[in-house]
Amino acid sequence: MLGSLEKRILSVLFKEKKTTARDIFRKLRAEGMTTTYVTVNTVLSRLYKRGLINRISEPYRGSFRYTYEYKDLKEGLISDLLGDVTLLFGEEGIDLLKKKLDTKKGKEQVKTKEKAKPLSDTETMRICLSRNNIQNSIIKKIEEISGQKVSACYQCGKCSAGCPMINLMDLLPNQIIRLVQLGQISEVLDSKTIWLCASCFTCSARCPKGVDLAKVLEALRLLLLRKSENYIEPSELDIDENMPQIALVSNLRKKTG
Amino acid sequence: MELCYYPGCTLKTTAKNFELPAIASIEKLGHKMVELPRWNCCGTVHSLAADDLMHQLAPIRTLIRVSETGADKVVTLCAMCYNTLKQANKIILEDNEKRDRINNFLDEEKDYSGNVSVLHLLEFLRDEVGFEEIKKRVKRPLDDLKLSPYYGCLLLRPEGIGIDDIEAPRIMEDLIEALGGEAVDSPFKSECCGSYHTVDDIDPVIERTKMIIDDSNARGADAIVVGCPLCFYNLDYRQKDAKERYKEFNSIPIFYFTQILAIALGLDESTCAFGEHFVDPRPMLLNKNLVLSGWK
Repeated sequence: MLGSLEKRILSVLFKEKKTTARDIFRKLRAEGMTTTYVTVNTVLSRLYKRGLINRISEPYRGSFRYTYEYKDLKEGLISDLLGDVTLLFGEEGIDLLKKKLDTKKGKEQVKTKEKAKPLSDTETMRICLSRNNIQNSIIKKIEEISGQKVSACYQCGKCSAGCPMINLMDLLPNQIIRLVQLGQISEVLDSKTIWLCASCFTCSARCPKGVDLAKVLEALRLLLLRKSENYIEPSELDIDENMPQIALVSNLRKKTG
Repeated sequence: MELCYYPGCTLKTTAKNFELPAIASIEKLGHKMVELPRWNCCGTVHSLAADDLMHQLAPIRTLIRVSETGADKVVTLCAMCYNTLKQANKIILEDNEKRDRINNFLDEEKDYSGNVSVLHLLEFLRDEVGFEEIKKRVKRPLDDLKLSPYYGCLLLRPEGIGIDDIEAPRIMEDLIEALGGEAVDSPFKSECCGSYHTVDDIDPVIERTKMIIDDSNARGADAIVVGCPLCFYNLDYRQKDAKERYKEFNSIPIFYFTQILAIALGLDESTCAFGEHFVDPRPMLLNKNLVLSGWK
Protein backbone atom coordinates (compact mmCIF):
# COMPACT_ATOMS: atom_id res chain seq x y z
CA MET A 1 0.00 0.00 0.00
CA LEU A 2 1.17 3.56 -0.70
CA GLY A 3 1.03 6.44 1.77
CA SER A 4 -0.54 9.77 0.79
CA LEU A 5 2.76 11.60 0.20
CA GLU A 6 4.08 8.60 -1.72
CA LYS A 7 1.06 8.83 -3.99
CA ARG A 8 1.50 12.56 -4.53
CA ILE A 9 5.17 12.11 -5.37
CA LEU A 10 4.45 9.26 -7.76
CA SER A 11 1.79 11.35 -9.48
CA VAL A 12 4.36 14.11 -10.10
CA LEU A 13 6.88 11.56 -11.34
CA PHE A 14 4.22 10.03 -13.60
CA LYS A 15 3.73 13.42 -15.27
CA GLU A 16 7.42 14.39 -15.43
CA LYS A 17 8.80 10.90 -16.17
CA LYS A 18 12.30 11.89 -15.04
CA THR A 19 13.17 14.61 -12.55
CA THR A 20 15.04 15.55 -9.37
CA ALA A 21 13.91 15.62 -5.75
CA ARG A 22 14.14 19.41 -5.75
CA ASP A 23 11.83 19.78 -8.73
CA ILE A 24 9.29 17.37 -7.24
CA PHE A 25 9.43 19.37 -4.02
CA ARG A 26 8.82 22.60 -5.93
CA LYS A 27 5.88 21.12 -7.85
CA LEU A 28 4.26 19.88 -4.63
CA ARG A 29 4.79 23.25 -3.00
CA ALA A 30 3.22 24.99 -6.00
CA GLU A 31 0.23 22.65 -5.65
CA GLY A 32 -0.20 24.00 -2.14
CA MET A 33 1.23 21.04 -0.22
CA THR A 34 3.10 21.69 3.01
CA THR A 35 6.11 19.44 2.93
CA THR A 36 9.86 19.85 3.14
CA TYR A 37 12.59 19.08 0.69
CA VAL A 38 14.13 16.60 3.12
CA THR A 39 10.88 14.67 3.46
CA VAL A 40 10.49 14.43 -0.31
CA ASN A 41 14.04 13.15 -0.54
CA THR A 42 13.44 10.50 2.14
CA VAL A 43 10.24 9.28 0.55
CA LEU A 44 11.94 9.08 -2.84
CA SER A 45 14.74 6.87 -1.55
CA ARG A 46 12.15 4.68 0.21
CA LEU A 47 10.23 4.27 -3.04
CA TYR A 48 13.48 3.44 -4.80
CA LYS A 49 14.40 0.82 -2.20
CA ARG A 50 11.01 -0.79 -2.65
CA GLY A 51 11.72 -1.02 -6.38
CA LEU A 52 8.84 1.26 -7.35
CA ILE A 53 10.97 3.90 -9.13
CA ASN A 54 14.39 4.09 -10.81
CA ARG A 55 17.25 6.16 -9.48
CA ILE A 56 20.10 7.40 -11.66
CA SER A 57 23.24 8.93 -10.23
CA GLU A 58 24.76 11.57 -12.49
CA PRO A 59 27.69 13.98 -12.17
CA TYR A 60 26.57 17.47 -11.13
CA ARG A 61 28.54 20.56 -10.07
CA GLY A 62 31.69 18.79 -9.03
CA SER A 63 29.97 15.93 -7.22
CA PHE A 64 26.89 13.94 -8.21
CA ARG A 65 23.15 14.03 -7.82
CA TYR A 66 20.24 11.64 -8.09
CA THR A 67 17.59 11.84 -10.75
CA TYR A 68 14.48 9.76 -10.32
CA GLU A 69 12.69 8.03 -13.13
CA TYR A 70 9.12 6.81 -13.34
CA LYS A 71 8.59 3.07 -13.67
CA ASP A 72 5.35 1.87 -15.16
CA LEU A 73 3.38 0.59 -12.16
CA LYS A 74 -0.14 0.92 -13.56
CA GLU A 75 -0.60 -2.70 -14.56
CA GLY A 76 0.77 -4.13 -11.31
CA LEU A 77 -1.04 -1.77 -8.95
CA ILE A 78 -4.40 -2.13 -10.67
CA SER A 79 -4.30 -5.93 -10.80
CA ASP A 80 -3.29 -5.94 -7.13
CA LEU A 81 -6.30 -3.83 -6.27
CA LEU A 82 -8.68 -5.88 -8.41
CA GLY A 83 -7.27 -9.08 -6.93
CA ASP A 84 -8.10 -7.89 -3.42
CA VAL A 85 -11.61 -6.85 -4.40
CA THR A 86 -12.50 -10.13 -6.13
CA LEU A 87 -10.88 -12.22 -3.43
CA LEU A 88 -12.92 -10.57 -0.68
CA PHE A 89 -16.26 -9.83 -2.34
CA GLY A 90 -16.38 -11.79 -5.62
CA GLU A 91 -18.72 -10.60 -8.40
CA GLU A 92 -20.49 -8.19 -6.03
CA GLY A 93 -17.20 -6.38 -5.39
CA ILE A 94 -16.58 -5.87 -9.11
CA ASP A 95 -20.09 -4.39 -9.61
CA LEU A 96 -19.60 -2.02 -6.68
CA LEU A 97 -16.23 -0.94 -8.03
CA LYS A 98 -17.76 -0.23 -11.42
CA LYS A 99 -20.47 1.96 -9.87
CA LYS A 100 -17.89 3.83 -7.79
CA LEU A 101 -15.71 4.44 -10.83
CA ASP A 102 -18.61 5.98 -12.78
CA THR A 103 -19.53 8.40 -9.98
CA LYS A 104 -15.87 9.13 -9.33
CA LYS A 105 -15.45 10.60 -12.81
CA GLY A 106 -18.21 13.11 -12.16
CA LYS A 107 -16.86 14.02 -8.72
CA GLU A 108 -13.35 14.50 -10.01
CA GLN A 109 -14.58 17.23 -12.34
CA VAL A 110 -16.19 19.10 -9.45
CA LYS A 111 -13.08 18.64 -7.33
CA THR A 112 -10.68 20.22 -9.80
CA LYS A 113 -12.66 23.44 -9.57
CA GLU A 114 -11.91 23.98 -5.88
CA LYS A 115 -8.15 23.93 -6.11
CA ALA A 116 -6.22 24.39 -2.89
CA LYS A 117 -4.82 27.90 -2.55
CA PRO A 118 -1.03 27.68 -2.94
CA LEU A 119 0.82 28.62 0.21
CA SER A 120 2.99 31.70 -0.01
CA ASP A 121 6.74 31.32 0.02
CA THR A 122 7.07 32.55 3.58
CA GLU A 123 4.72 29.80 4.73
CA THR A 124 6.62 27.02 2.99
CA MET A 125 10.17 28.35 3.09
CA ARG A 126 11.64 25.59 5.23
CA ILE A 127 15.22 24.53 5.28
CA CYS A 128 17.15 21.97 7.23
CA LEU A 129 19.83 23.60 9.37
CA SER A 130 22.97 21.85 10.40
CA ARG A 131 26.15 22.91 12.13
CA ASN A 132 28.10 21.60 9.14
CA ASN A 133 26.26 23.91 6.78
CA ILE A 134 26.58 26.96 8.99
CA GLN A 135 30.31 26.41 9.32
CA ASN A 136 30.59 25.82 5.57
CA SER A 137 33.91 27.10 4.27
CA ILE A 138 32.18 28.28 1.08
CA ILE A 139 30.73 31.19 3.08
CA LYS A 140 34.27 32.43 3.59
CA LYS A 141 34.99 31.97 -0.10
CA ILE A 142 31.90 34.04 -1.00
CA GLU A 143 33.01 36.78 1.40
CA GLU A 144 36.46 36.71 -0.11
CA ILE A 145 35.30 37.01 -3.72
CA SER A 146 32.66 39.64 -2.97
CA GLY A 147 34.62 41.56 -0.36
CA GLN A 148 31.35 41.72 1.60
CA LYS A 149 30.48 40.59 5.11
CA VAL A 150 27.27 38.60 4.63
CA SER A 151 26.64 38.36 8.38
CA ALA A 152 26.12 42.14 8.45
CA CYS A 153 22.67 41.73 6.88
CA TYR A 154 19.80 42.00 9.37
CA GLN A 155 17.04 41.10 6.92
CA CYS A 156 15.23 44.41 6.56
CA GLY A 157 14.21 43.46 3.02
CA LYS A 158 15.07 46.80 1.40
CA CYS A 159 17.02 44.97 -1.34
CA SER A 160 14.00 42.90 -2.31
CA ALA A 161 11.66 45.89 -2.12
CA GLY A 162 13.59 47.77 -4.81
CA CYS A 163 14.68 44.90 -7.04
CA PRO A 164 13.30 45.34 -10.58
CA MET A 165 13.51 41.60 -11.34
CA ILE A 166 11.76 40.46 -8.17
CA ASN A 167 8.60 39.16 -9.86
CA LEU A 168 10.62 36.55 -11.75
CA MET A 169 12.82 35.38 -8.91
CA ASP A 170 12.40 32.05 -7.13
CA LEU A 171 14.32 33.30 -4.10
CA LEU A 172 14.12 36.94 -3.01
CA PRO A 173 17.44 38.81 -2.74
CA ASN A 174 17.15 39.00 1.06
CA GLN A 175 16.42 35.26 1.16
CA ILE A 176 19.58 34.64 -0.86
CA ILE A 177 21.69 36.44 1.69
CA ARG A 178 19.93 34.71 4.61
CA LEU A 179 20.55 31.31 3.03
CA VAL A 180 24.20 32.20 2.49
CA GLN A 181 24.47 33.20 6.17
CA LEU A 182 23.10 29.77 7.05
CA GLY A 183 25.39 27.97 4.63
CA GLN A 184 22.56 26.68 2.40
CA ILE A 185 24.77 27.09 -0.63
CA SER A 186 23.29 24.46 -2.95
CA GLU A 187 19.82 25.95 -2.44
CA VAL A 188 21.20 29.32 -3.55
CA LEU A 189 23.31 28.04 -6.45
CA ASP A 190 20.29 26.18 -7.83
CA SER A 191 18.17 29.33 -7.87
CA LYS A 192 17.18 31.33 -10.91
CA THR A 193 17.68 34.51 -8.89
CA ILE A 194 21.47 34.61 -9.14
CA TRP A 195 21.19 34.66 -12.93
CA LEU A 196 18.31 37.14 -13.11
CA CYS A 197 20.28 39.77 -11.22
CA ALA A 198 21.76 42.07 -13.86
CA SER A 199 23.87 44.09 -11.38
CA CYS A 200 21.77 47.26 -11.56
CA PHE A 201 23.10 48.17 -8.08
CA THR A 202 19.74 49.35 -6.73
CA CYS A 203 20.03 47.05 -3.70
CA SER A 204 23.66 48.03 -3.18
CA ALA A 205 22.72 51.72 -3.18
CA ARG A 206 19.92 51.28 -0.66
CA CYS A 207 21.25 48.74 1.86
CA PRO A 208 21.25 50.41 5.30
CA LYS A 209 24.02 48.06 6.43
CA GLY A 210 26.21 48.80 3.44
CA VAL A 211 26.17 45.24 2.12
CA ASP A 212 26.83 45.31 -1.61
CA LEU A 213 24.45 42.52 -2.58
CA ALA A 214 25.31 42.87 -6.28
CA LYS A 215 28.82 41.75 -5.35
CA VAL A 216 27.53 38.81 -3.31
CA LEU A 217 25.44 37.64 -6.26
CA GLU A 218 28.43 38.03 -8.57
CA ALA A 219 30.44 35.86 -6.17
CA LEU A 220 27.73 33.19 -6.26
CA ARG A 221 27.72 33.18 -10.06
CA LEU A 222 31.49 32.99 -10.07
CA LEU A 223 31.44 29.92 -7.81
CA LEU A 224 29.82 28.14 -10.76
CA LEU A 225 31.41 30.00 -13.67
CA ARG A 226 34.93 29.47 -12.37
CA LYS A 227 34.30 25.75 -12.64
CA SER A 228 33.36 26.38 -16.28
CA GLU A 229 29.71 25.71 -15.60
CA ASN A 230 28.32 28.09 -18.18
CA TYR A 231 24.76 29.24 -17.65
CA ILE A 232 24.18 29.62 -21.39
CA GLU A 233 25.57 27.88 -24.44
CA PRO A 234 26.94 30.64 -26.72
CA SER A 235 26.56 28.58 -29.89
CA GLU A 236 22.81 28.30 -29.26
CA LEU A 237 22.20 32.04 -29.05
CA ASP A 238 19.94 33.63 -31.61
CA ILE A 239 21.54 36.96 -32.41
CA ASP A 240 19.66 39.87 -33.93
CA GLU A 241 21.95 41.98 -36.11
CA ASN A 242 20.71 45.22 -34.57
CA MET A 243 21.75 44.09 -31.13
CA PRO A 244 24.53 46.28 -29.71
CA GLN A 245 27.86 44.59 -29.02
CA ILE A 246 27.74 45.67 -25.39
CA ALA A 247 24.70 43.39 -24.98
CA LEU A 248 26.57 40.37 -26.28
CA VAL A 249 29.83 41.00 -24.47
CA SER A 250 28.16 41.71 -21.15
CA ASN A 251 25.91 38.68 -21.51
CA LEU A 252 28.87 36.40 -22.13
CA ARG A 253 30.87 38.07 -19.35
CA LYS A 254 28.06 37.45 -16.88
CA LYS A 255 26.78 34.05 -17.97
CA THR A 256 29.84 32.12 -19.13
CA GLY A 257 33.10 31.34 -17.39
CA MET B 1 38.12 73.11 -26.26
CA GLU B 2 39.38 69.77 -27.55
CA LEU B 3 37.82 66.83 -25.82
CA CYS B 4 39.46 63.43 -25.66
CA TYR B 5 36.69 61.04 -26.68
CA TYR B 6 36.49 57.29 -26.06
CA PRO B 7 33.75 55.79 -28.28
CA GLY B 8 33.75 52.07 -27.45
CA CYS B 9 32.60 49.33 -29.83
CA THR B 10 28.88 50.00 -30.04
CA LEU B 11 29.13 53.68 -30.90
CA LYS B 12 31.03 52.73 -34.03
CA THR B 13 28.46 50.24 -35.28
CA THR B 14 24.89 49.94 -34.01
CA ALA B 15 24.77 53.28 -32.18
CA LYS B 16 25.89 55.68 -34.90
CA ASN B 17 22.67 57.55 -34.21
CA PHE B 18 24.15 58.29 -30.76
CA GLU B 19 27.63 59.31 -31.90
CA LEU B 20 26.99 61.37 -35.05
CA PRO B 21 24.63 63.92 -33.44
CA ALA B 22 26.99 64.16 -30.43
CA ILE B 23 30.01 65.07 -32.55
CA ALA B 24 28.00 67.53 -34.62
CA SER B 25 26.34 69.18 -31.61
CA ILE B 26 29.56 69.57 -29.64
CA GLU B 27 31.13 71.21 -32.68
CA LYS B 28 28.15 73.53 -32.95
CA LEU B 29 28.72 74.45 -29.30
CA GLY B 30 32.28 75.45 -30.12
CA HIS B 31 34.19 72.39 -28.91
CA LYS B 32 35.67 69.39 -30.64
CA MET B 33 35.47 65.71 -29.79
CA VAL B 34 38.77 64.11 -30.75
CA GLU B 35 38.67 60.35 -30.83
CA LEU B 36 41.39 58.58 -28.86
CA PRO B 37 43.86 57.40 -31.56
CA ARG B 38 44.22 53.94 -30.02
CA TRP B 39 41.64 52.28 -27.82
CA ASN B 40 40.36 48.86 -26.86
CA CYS B 41 37.20 47.30 -25.39
CA CYS B 42 36.24 48.58 -21.94
CA GLY B 43 35.05 45.15 -20.82
CA THR B 44 31.39 46.35 -20.82
CA VAL B 45 30.67 45.18 -17.27
CA HIS B 46 32.79 46.13 -14.29
CA SER B 47 34.10 42.99 -12.64
CA LEU B 48 32.62 42.97 -9.14
CA ALA B 49 34.91 40.28 -7.75
CA ALA B 50 37.46 41.57 -5.26
CA ASP B 51 40.02 38.99 -6.37
CA ASP B 52 39.71 39.71 -10.09
CA LEU B 53 42.13 42.34 -11.35
CA MET B 54 42.49 40.81 -14.80
CA HIS B 55 39.24 42.30 -16.01
CA GLN B 56 40.28 45.78 -14.83
CA LEU B 57 43.18 45.83 -17.27
CA ALA B 58 41.17 46.68 -20.40
CA PRO B 59 39.65 49.89 -19.04
CA ILE B 60 42.91 50.89 -17.34
CA ARG B 61 44.85 50.38 -20.55
CA THR B 62 42.44 52.77 -22.24
CA LEU B 63 42.96 55.32 -19.45
CA ILE B 64 46.73 55.00 -19.95
CA ARG B 65 46.20 55.76 -23.65
CA VAL B 66 44.27 58.88 -22.62
CA SER B 67 47.06 60.10 -20.36
CA GLU B 68 49.57 59.44 -23.15
CA THR B 69 47.77 62.03 -25.28
CA GLY B 70 48.33 64.54 -22.49
CA ALA B 71 44.62 64.85 -21.71
CA ASP B 72 43.44 64.86 -18.10
CA LYS B 73 39.90 63.79 -18.89
CA VAL B 74 38.11 61.48 -21.24
CA VAL B 75 34.51 61.77 -22.40
CA THR B 76 32.29 58.79 -23.14
CA LEU B 77 28.81 58.46 -24.56
CA CYS B 78 28.01 54.82 -23.84
CA ALA B 79 26.81 54.33 -20.26
CA MET B 80 28.54 50.96 -19.98
CA CYS B 81 31.90 52.36 -21.08
CA TYR B 82 31.45 55.25 -18.69
CA ASN B 83 30.73 52.92 -15.80
CA THR B 84 33.57 50.44 -16.38
CA LEU B 85 36.16 53.16 -17.01
CA LYS B 86 35.13 55.14 -13.97
CA GLN B 87 34.94 52.13 -11.66
CA ALA B 88 38.36 50.90 -12.77
CA ASN B 89 39.75 54.39 -12.21
CA LYS B 90 38.23 54.39 -8.72
CA ILE B 91 40.13 51.20 -7.86
CA ILE B 92 43.39 52.84 -8.94
CA LEU B 93 42.61 55.94 -6.87
CA GLU B 94 41.44 54.20 -3.74
CA ASP B 95 43.35 50.93 -3.47
CA ASN B 96 47.11 51.38 -3.50
CA GLU B 97 47.83 47.67 -3.28
CA LYS B 98 45.72 46.87 -6.32
CA ARG B 99 47.12 49.89 -8.18
CA ASP B 100 50.68 48.62 -7.65
CA ARG B 101 49.81 45.08 -8.71
CA ILE B 102 48.16 46.36 -11.88
CA ASN B 103 51.09 48.66 -12.66
CA ASN B 104 53.56 45.83 -12.09
CA PHE B 105 51.61 43.58 -14.39
CA LEU B 106 51.32 46.21 -17.14
CA ASP B 107 55.11 46.52 -17.22
CA GLU B 108 55.25 47.73 -20.82
CA GLU B 109 53.04 50.70 -20.03
CA LYS B 110 53.79 53.83 -18.07
CA ASP B 111 52.62 53.61 -14.47
CA TYR B 112 49.10 54.90 -14.06
CA SER B 113 48.03 56.86 -11.00
CA GLY B 114 44.35 57.55 -11.73
CA ASN B 115 44.93 61.09 -12.95
CA VAL B 116 42.43 60.89 -15.83
CA SER B 117 38.91 61.88 -14.90
CA VAL B 118 36.17 59.97 -16.65
CA LEU B 119 33.26 62.10 -17.80
CA HIS B 120 30.00 61.30 -19.46
CA LEU B 121 29.01 63.73 -22.19
CA LEU B 122 25.96 64.77 -20.14
CA GLU B 123 28.32 65.89 -17.36
CA PHE B 124 30.38 67.83 -19.87
CA LEU B 125 27.25 69.58 -21.14
CA ARG B 126 26.12 70.43 -17.61
CA ASP B 127 29.44 71.35 -15.98
CA GLU B 128 31.66 72.65 -18.77
CA VAL B 129 29.26 74.05 -21.34
CA GLY B 130 26.40 74.81 -18.94
CA PHE B 131 22.70 74.40 -19.63
CA GLU B 132 22.20 78.19 -19.57
CA GLU B 133 24.69 78.51 -22.41
CA ILE B 134 22.99 75.69 -24.33
CA LYS B 135 19.66 77.43 -23.87
CA LYS B 136 21.08 80.53 -25.57
CA ARG B 137 22.29 78.46 -28.52
CA VAL B 138 18.97 76.76 -29.20
CA LYS B 139 17.81 77.50 -32.75
CA ARG B 140 14.80 75.23 -32.90
CA PRO B 141 13.22 75.01 -29.42
CA LEU B 142 11.51 71.72 -28.67
CA ASP B 143 8.26 73.53 -27.96
CA ASP B 144 5.34 71.32 -27.25
CA LEU B 145 7.54 68.23 -27.06
CA LYS B 146 7.01 66.09 -23.97
CA LEU B 147 10.05 63.94 -23.29
CA SER B 148 10.41 61.31 -20.62
CA PRO B 149 14.03 60.81 -19.52
CA TYR B 150 15.16 57.25 -18.89
CA TYR B 151 18.49 56.94 -17.08
CA GLY B 152 18.74 53.20 -16.50
CA CYS B 153 21.35 51.90 -14.05
CA LEU B 154 24.86 52.60 -15.11
CA LEU B 155 24.68 56.39 -15.44
CA LEU B 156 23.54 56.63 -11.82
CA ARG B 157 24.89 53.72 -9.82
CA PRO B 158 26.81 52.60 -7.86
CA GLU B 159 27.25 55.43 -5.40
CA GLY B 160 30.21 57.66 -6.21
CA ILE B 161 30.16 56.65 -9.87
CA GLY B 162 26.89 58.13 -11.10
CA ILE B 163 26.60 61.46 -12.86
CA ASP B 164 23.77 62.78 -10.72
CA ASP B 165 21.70 62.16 -7.59
CA ILE B 166 21.37 58.43 -7.19
CA GLU B 167 17.63 58.41 -6.39
CA ALA B 168 16.34 61.66 -7.89
CA PRO B 169 18.41 62.58 -10.96
CA ARG B 170 17.67 65.85 -12.78
CA ILE B 171 20.41 66.16 -15.37
CA MET B 172 18.39 64.94 -18.37
CA GLU B 173 15.31 66.87 -17.22
CA ASP B 174 17.43 70.02 -17.04
CA LEU B 175 18.83 69.40 -20.51
CA ILE B 176 15.36 68.81 -21.95
CA GLU B 177 14.07 72.01 -20.37
CA ALA B 178 17.09 73.98 -21.60
CA LEU B 179 16.23 72.79 -25.11
CA GLY B 180 12.70 74.12 -24.71
CA GLY B 181 10.97 70.77 -24.21
CA GLU B 182 8.85 69.55 -21.33
CA ALA B 183 10.32 66.83 -19.11
CA VAL B 184 7.85 64.14 -18.10
CA ASP B 185 8.77 62.38 -14.87
CA SER B 186 8.62 58.60 -14.65
CA PRO B 187 8.91 56.32 -11.63
CA PHE B 188 10.86 53.84 -13.74
CA LYS B 189 13.49 56.27 -14.98
CA SER B 190 16.28 54.79 -12.90
CA GLU B 191 15.18 51.16 -13.00
CA CYS B 192 16.92 48.44 -14.99
CA CYS B 193 15.68 47.80 -18.57
CA GLY B 194 16.55 44.09 -18.40
CA SER B 195 20.03 44.80 -19.72
CA TYR B 196 22.00 41.93 -21.26
CA HIS B 197 19.21 39.41 -20.69
CA THR B 198 18.02 40.63 -24.07
CA VAL B 199 20.51 38.19 -25.63
CA ASP B 200 19.36 34.88 -24.18
CA ASP B 201 16.21 35.52 -22.13
CA ILE B 202 13.99 38.16 -23.72
CA ASP B 203 10.91 37.63 -21.54
CA PRO B 204 11.96 39.86 -18.64
CA VAL B 205 13.13 42.48 -21.15
CA ILE B 206 9.81 42.54 -23.02
CA GLU B 207 7.91 42.85 -19.75
CA ARG B 208 10.08 45.71 -18.52
CA THR B 209 10.00 47.49 -21.88
CA LYS B 210 6.23 47.28 -21.88
CA MET B 211 5.98 48.54 -18.31
CA ILE B 212 8.29 51.51 -18.90
CA ILE B 213 6.66 52.49 -22.20
CA ASP B 214 3.08 52.03 -20.98
CA ASP B 215 3.91 54.36 -18.11
CA SER B 216 5.44 57.03 -20.36
CA ASN B 217 2.46 56.81 -22.70
CA ALA B 218 0.07 57.13 -19.78
CA ARG B 219 1.88 60.28 -18.68
CA GLY B 220 1.45 61.78 -22.12
CA ALA B 221 5.09 61.64 -23.24
CA ASP B 222 5.81 61.99 -26.96
CA ALA B 223 9.09 60.10 -26.68
CA ILE B 224 11.61 58.64 -24.23
CA VAL B 225 15.18 59.95 -24.01
CA VAL B 226 18.08 57.61 -23.14
CA GLY B 227 21.84 57.76 -22.74
CA CYS B 228 22.81 54.11 -23.15
CA PRO B 229 22.88 51.99 -26.34
CA LEU B 230 21.64 48.91 -24.47
CA CYS B 231 18.69 50.78 -22.95
CA PHE B 232 18.05 52.12 -26.45
CA TYR B 233 17.98 48.66 -27.99
CA ASN B 234 15.77 47.21 -25.27
CA LEU B 235 13.33 50.11 -25.34
CA ASP B 236 13.29 50.60 -29.12
CA TYR B 237 13.79 47.26 -30.85
CA ARG B 238 12.05 45.17 -28.19
CA GLN B 239 8.86 47.13 -28.88
CA LYS B 240 8.46 44.77 -31.80
CA ASP B 241 8.27 41.80 -29.41
CA ALA B 242 6.07 43.72 -26.99
CA LYS B 243 3.63 44.47 -29.82
CA GLU B 244 3.58 40.81 -30.84
CA ARG B 245 2.77 39.76 -27.29
CA TYR B 246 0.34 42.53 -26.36
CA LYS B 247 -2.16 43.65 -28.99
CA GLU B 248 -3.04 46.82 -27.05
CA PHE B 249 0.62 47.93 -26.77
CA ASN B 250 1.27 51.44 -28.07
CA SER B 251 4.72 52.17 -29.40
CA ILE B 252 6.70 55.32 -28.68
CA PRO B 253 9.85 56.75 -30.30
CA ILE B 254 13.13 56.53 -28.38
CA PHE B 255 15.80 59.26 -28.66
CA TYR B 256 19.36 59.49 -27.57
CA PHE B 257 19.83 62.77 -25.69
CA THR B 258 22.36 63.75 -28.36
CA GLN B 259 19.66 63.60 -31.04
CA ILE B 260 17.30 66.02 -29.31
CA LEU B 261 20.30 68.26 -28.68
CA ALA B 262 21.19 68.24 -32.38
CA ILE B 263 17.62 69.00 -33.43
CA ALA B 264 17.32 71.87 -30.97
CA LEU B 265 20.66 73.32 -32.06
CA GLY B 266 19.23 73.48 -35.56
CA LEU B 267 21.35 70.74 -37.10
CA ASP B 268 20.13 68.83 -40.11
CA GLU B 269 18.12 65.79 -39.14
CA SER B 270 20.39 63.60 -41.27
CA THR B 271 23.04 63.89 -38.52
CA CYS B 272 20.63 62.05 -36.23
CA ALA B 273 20.58 58.88 -38.38
CA PHE B 274 16.91 58.25 -37.58
CA GLY B 275 16.95 55.43 -40.10
CA GLU B 276 18.63 53.28 -37.42
CA HIS B 277 15.52 53.35 -35.24
CA PHE B 278 12.91 50.64 -35.04
CA VAL B 279 10.20 53.16 -34.17
CA ASP B 280 10.91 56.03 -36.54
CA PRO B 281 10.64 59.32 -34.61
CA ARG B 282 10.35 61.44 -37.75
CA PRO B 283 6.57 61.31 -38.22
CA MET B 284 6.16 62.55 -34.63
CA LEU B 285 8.82 65.25 -35.13
CA LEU B 286 7.19 66.30 -38.37
CA ASN B 287 3.92 66.62 -36.52
CA LYS B 288 5.61 69.00 -34.09
CA ASN B 289 7.28 70.93 -36.93
CA LEU B 290 10.73 69.85 -35.79
CA VAL B 291 12.06 68.19 -38.93
CA LEU B 292 11.82 69.12 -42.54
CA SER B 293 9.25 67.24 -44.54
CA GLY B 294 11.81 66.19 -47.15
CA TRP B 295 13.02 63.03 -45.41
CA LYS B 296 10.51 60.65 -46.93
